[in-house]
Amino acid sequence: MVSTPDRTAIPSIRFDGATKTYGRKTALACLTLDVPTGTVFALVGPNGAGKTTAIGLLTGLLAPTAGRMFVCGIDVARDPVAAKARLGFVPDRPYLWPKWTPRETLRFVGAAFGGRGAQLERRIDAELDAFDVAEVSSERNETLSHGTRQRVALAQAFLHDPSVLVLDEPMVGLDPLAQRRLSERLRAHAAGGAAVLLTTHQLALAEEIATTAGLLVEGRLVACGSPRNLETASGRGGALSDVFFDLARGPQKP
Amino acid sequence: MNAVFRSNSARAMGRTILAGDARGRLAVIAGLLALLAFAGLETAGLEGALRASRAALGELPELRPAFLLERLLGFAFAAALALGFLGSLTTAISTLFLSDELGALCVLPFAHRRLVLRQAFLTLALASAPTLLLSIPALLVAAFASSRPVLGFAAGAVPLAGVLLLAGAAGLAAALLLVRLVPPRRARLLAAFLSATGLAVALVGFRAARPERLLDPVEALSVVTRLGVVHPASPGLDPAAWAARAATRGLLGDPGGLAPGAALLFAGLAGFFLVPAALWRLHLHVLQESWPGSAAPAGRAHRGPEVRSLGGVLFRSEAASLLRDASTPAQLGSLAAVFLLDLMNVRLLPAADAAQRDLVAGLQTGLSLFLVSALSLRFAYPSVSSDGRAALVLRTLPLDPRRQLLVRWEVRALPAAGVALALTGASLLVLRPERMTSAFALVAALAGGLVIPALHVGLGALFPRYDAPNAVSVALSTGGLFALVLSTGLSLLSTLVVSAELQTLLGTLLRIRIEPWPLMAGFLLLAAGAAITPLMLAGRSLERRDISIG
Repeated sequence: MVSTPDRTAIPSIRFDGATKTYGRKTALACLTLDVPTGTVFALVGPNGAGKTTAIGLLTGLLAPTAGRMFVCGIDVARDPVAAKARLGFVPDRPYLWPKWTPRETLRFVGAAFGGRGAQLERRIDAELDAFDVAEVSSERNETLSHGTRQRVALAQAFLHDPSVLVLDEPMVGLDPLAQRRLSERLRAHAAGGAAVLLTTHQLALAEEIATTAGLLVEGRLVACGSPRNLETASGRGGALSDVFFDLARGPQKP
Repeated sequence: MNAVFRSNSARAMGRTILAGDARGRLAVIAGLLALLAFAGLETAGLEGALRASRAALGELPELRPAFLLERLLGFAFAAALALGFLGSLTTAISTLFLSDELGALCVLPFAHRRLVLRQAFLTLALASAPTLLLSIPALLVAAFASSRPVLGFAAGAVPLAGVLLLAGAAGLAAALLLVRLVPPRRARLLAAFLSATGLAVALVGFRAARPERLLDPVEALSVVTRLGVVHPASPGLDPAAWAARAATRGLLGDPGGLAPGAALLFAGLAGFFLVPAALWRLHLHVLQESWPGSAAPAGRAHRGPEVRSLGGVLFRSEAASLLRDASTPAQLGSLAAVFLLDLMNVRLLPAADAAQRDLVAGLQTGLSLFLVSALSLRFAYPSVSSDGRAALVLRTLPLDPRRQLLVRWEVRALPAAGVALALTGASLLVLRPERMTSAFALVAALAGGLVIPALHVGLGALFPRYDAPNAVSVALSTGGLFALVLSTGLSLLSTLVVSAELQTLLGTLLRIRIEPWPLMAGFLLLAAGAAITPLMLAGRSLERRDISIG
């Protein structure tokens, strides 16, 4: 497994003026953001706000038009392999090789992150148990339900104990019990010295587990802070969802 | 990483073969048996040809077997080069840009160059498979016929590997450059069209060289003498010619043939490794720009016409589904080639005898309708299954399924009838049979062109497979093959309806009198039944049957 450098000195995730444009359309405008170690950061916003673009830039799936992204201080564009070695990622629609089994999938991903032998097998068993997919670990991925596939994808992301965990809509397809377990796991992972960046449409979830939340609207970060601070700063009291609706709607037209 | 990936993939393949359901296992066993049968037939054919040519060459001492062999191998290696290039071009666009697993692999800590190289190997394996299937039996036959079998095999296999690697490298580079210019999905359509057209041009070119001359002893002797006396030209920069020269020398027992073969292999390896090394940045750039999750580039929005009627919307939507099918351009390229080849063949037939013209006109009508059957199997039979999960939504719309079936048929029947009439009409122009035969042929072609898509749309809707991975797997299902059998039967019947000669022959055999007009009426009635019955049954089934999609 990958050894992590001093996690406290530098933010685990840094967006430094990250911008992505497609022709005249700006998907993400000059996003500057630090996510320190120990943080669960929820990126919320309406559809098309730029959440998935931000994640795509951080994971190297998209190239920025301007700006830079860092994972544990490593420039994603300059040293993508080292940056990815510290990253665990769950996309919004996870891909699992259809003819493989969950165990084989985890074995491959574990090996890609440098895991070997009995130690890797123990890690795989632990993650399969943690996400309650041990019973189907010998079934073909193509035969699994959507929720089970999502749990396999989560097990895969946690397998190498990543310093930075990035999850795009991780709760989709999970039952309430699995959602609760994942929330606890994310909090524990962050408390253990990692950073978690997740996008979600579930404002209650963001409010419940995030230490910090950022609201993206039309590619711009319009608010950022702890859910409680955001609620206070809005001047309305109320829940995060009220803040979200106020800011996402923009200035009221007369 | 690769070891785990390979072992996982091997286990998955084993599971597919051994642990699948009975039907899946049967399909795999049938596939393996078909491969073995193909290899056996090719081996037997090549051995027979080898014996015959040895006997013939014994009587023609002025001919140099080495010259003939080198020319034959030159043609074979050039074909391998072209097939490998076109195959790699099409496959590489899928493996490098459109494969679902790229998303999973891109976020793992591998150098991007390695990922491109891995996809390049996958492309090479997939694109080379047809060539290897054809060439391995030939290599074995040639090696065993050689005085030094091991040397002979190596002399053939080494330059073949070089040629395939060079073709793969060129195909990969072309795919990367093509996707730089047009988006991946459009590039795949373009590449498929180029491949189909390339193969079609090769087929037409081969046909235009009039290989039938070899069936005429005098002409065959003249051709073989020309090819077997003059030394083949210097290979220059042509890799296929170098491969042919190397293989010829090796097969004739000269170990010196290995050197140019090995040089070709090294050139192929260098080219193959050079492309990912030189172009991985370009790949990363294009991949990032075309990533499916990213927002679409701003462009002029095409609004399309306003809705005026439900029928118009249904027709336009169905036509768009058909025209945007990834296989359509390739199928059109192949169809054009088959059409040209067919006309070239028809022109060669003796035209003086009216009876022969009548018979051929009937056969040509049947052939046209068989082509329509094949196209319908691919494009009409899966039309309902291709809805996939959208079928769940369609079922809940206030839309009569019979009306939608009718639109599905209209969209496919119009081009099918056009194809049938064009193919039959062109044959009639070349053949010039009796007027009545021509009229019957055109009527049968029109009826078949309208009926066969209806039969396929109807049967496809009666046995839908919404969860099938693609349209081809739907077409090759048991229901699809049943539809093909029925429409082929109709095509055969059209031959009898058109040709008076066949009617006389059949009447004599059955000791009955077959009248052309009642036969045509019967054909039209049967055709109408074959179109209407499945459509009606399917309409009822789509309305009432339970629908469940995994």
